[in-house]
Amino acid sequence: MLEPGADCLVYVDPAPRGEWALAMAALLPGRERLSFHLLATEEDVRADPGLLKKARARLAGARTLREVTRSGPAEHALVAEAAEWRYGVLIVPPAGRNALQRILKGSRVATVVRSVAAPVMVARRPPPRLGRVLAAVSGGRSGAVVAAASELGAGLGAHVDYLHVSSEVSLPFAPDEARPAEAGALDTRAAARAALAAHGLSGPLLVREGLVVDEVLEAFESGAYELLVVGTGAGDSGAFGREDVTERILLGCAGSTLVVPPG
Amino acid sequence: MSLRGALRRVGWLLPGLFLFMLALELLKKGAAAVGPLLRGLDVGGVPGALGFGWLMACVVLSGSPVAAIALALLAARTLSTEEAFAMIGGSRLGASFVVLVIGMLDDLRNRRTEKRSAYIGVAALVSTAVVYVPALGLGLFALRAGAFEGLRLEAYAVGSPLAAIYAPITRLAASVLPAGLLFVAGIGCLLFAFRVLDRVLPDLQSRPTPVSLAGRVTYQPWFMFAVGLGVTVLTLSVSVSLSLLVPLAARGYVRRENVIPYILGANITTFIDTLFAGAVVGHPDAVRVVAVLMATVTALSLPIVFGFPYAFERLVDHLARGATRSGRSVAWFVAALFLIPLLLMVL
Repeated sequence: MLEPGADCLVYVDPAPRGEWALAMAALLPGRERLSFHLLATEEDVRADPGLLKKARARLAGARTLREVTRSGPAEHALVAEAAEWRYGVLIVPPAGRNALQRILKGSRVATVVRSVAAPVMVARRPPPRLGRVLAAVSGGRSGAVVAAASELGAGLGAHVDYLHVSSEVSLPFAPDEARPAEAGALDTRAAARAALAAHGLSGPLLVREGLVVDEVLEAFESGAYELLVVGTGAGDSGAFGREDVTERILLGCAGSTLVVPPG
Repeated sequence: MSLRGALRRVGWLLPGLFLFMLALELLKKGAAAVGPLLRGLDVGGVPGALGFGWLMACVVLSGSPVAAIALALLAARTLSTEEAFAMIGGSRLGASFVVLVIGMLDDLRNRRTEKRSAYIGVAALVSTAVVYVPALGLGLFALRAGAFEGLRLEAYAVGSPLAAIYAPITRLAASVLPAGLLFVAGIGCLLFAFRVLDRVLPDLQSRPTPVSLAGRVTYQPWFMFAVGLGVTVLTLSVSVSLSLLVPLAARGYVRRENVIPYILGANITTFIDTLFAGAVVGHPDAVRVVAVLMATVTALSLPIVFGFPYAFERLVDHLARGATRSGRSVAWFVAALFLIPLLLMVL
């Protein structure tokens, strides 16, 4: 994700929240080896011609810096830009819309996460240093989350915890043969452990039981973590009737969140 | 399902309906003996009837027969309209007890300390109580205000031909058996009728449905609510609907996010057989009390499902997890499940 020479797209928002994305970009490990692409909408640049210049100054020392403008709104500009360039990560501040505005206009970060294939870092009040990272690993599709979290943790020198939330409950009427005989890919906890082992991680897997969204957010808050890493549902979360758990975590998290698509 | 299988199922319909209506007649004729018994047990008024329905559903491990008995007692004027309404509501509060009992036995058998089966039973009971208790209050208010007063559904088309057959039987039984025994025979006949009617229900277990992923995928609350509504239209029982999740979920597990809105949906359409019983017992308020309860439960469930489903899930999950944390906490929950209706009965 952040290998030397990787391209990072940073959305430059003229609102005060725009500073969060720049601060988060500045915190990325190995900044001097990364290429930053600063994206602003044409409308914002017309209103503040010095917008991208000021952003450049915040990321001084990067390997390369490129300015990009596209017509807005922000989510359209981000999706269009991500479709034309292979980015290692997109860094986006939330638009700060309330529930009613989200119903009317949608969520900016959720739209971007749904529409792009690259990891998306949603920057919220980044601290001076990222010292504690929580990665939520759900099972079969945990590989990319574990890889991204361990890479970031190693680069930042941060402590990374891996959390698995078990939401399943047994059905009392199930005959014995229906019980999973530690059934491979569908035993989500075993799959999460396997994903950790595949990345050479032998530390403990934090396990909580309950509703996935609530448990992840509660663990993040109570553990004083500064970055949450979560995966997306490989495109099937948009299927009819399906819940987009990632989106709910993303919108409910008080801190910064890195959303990683399946590898 | 093959044509032969479909015909075999339909073949059970007529005997099932016949037994159902015969049972209601026996209950009505035997109800005279129940009045003094209820008074002896101090069952009177809305709280007493609520507690009695609740406790009886726990004892017979099903809500539908108790609701049908309440309607038979209403038709025999043993219970007032409000008492019948409360007893039907109470029957729903105890109806999921069977799920809890089987879950507890399952946990004990498997010495399970996590992913407890008892969770489903507690979640079903708690979800039901959170909606039904205010719905009962609202329903009583609606009944007193005359809601659905003009509503009359009478199943003459089904009832009249069958009545020609069961009337001599009930007359004979009434002449031979004392009223108390007649009532007990009615209960037995009713339980048997539900077993026969189960054979009419389509075999949902062998069909691929979206619920087959309920153990792995998280669905939106409105979707699982609709599935709960739909499945229970066919099964008529919340317990049976929950049991259907087993083969549908294929692996014996279900995500708790999916099960709570499913129960809310199931709790509404589970009244369809009671509505039918209301249409055949021959009391002008019988259908009305069921319709009022269905309407108030629906009116309270819809805002939950579409307005604040996650807060509701959080509440139910919190309570269900607390109640299933250990064997002792489950025992306390079960004790409360019996003590509360007993307290209501002695109030």
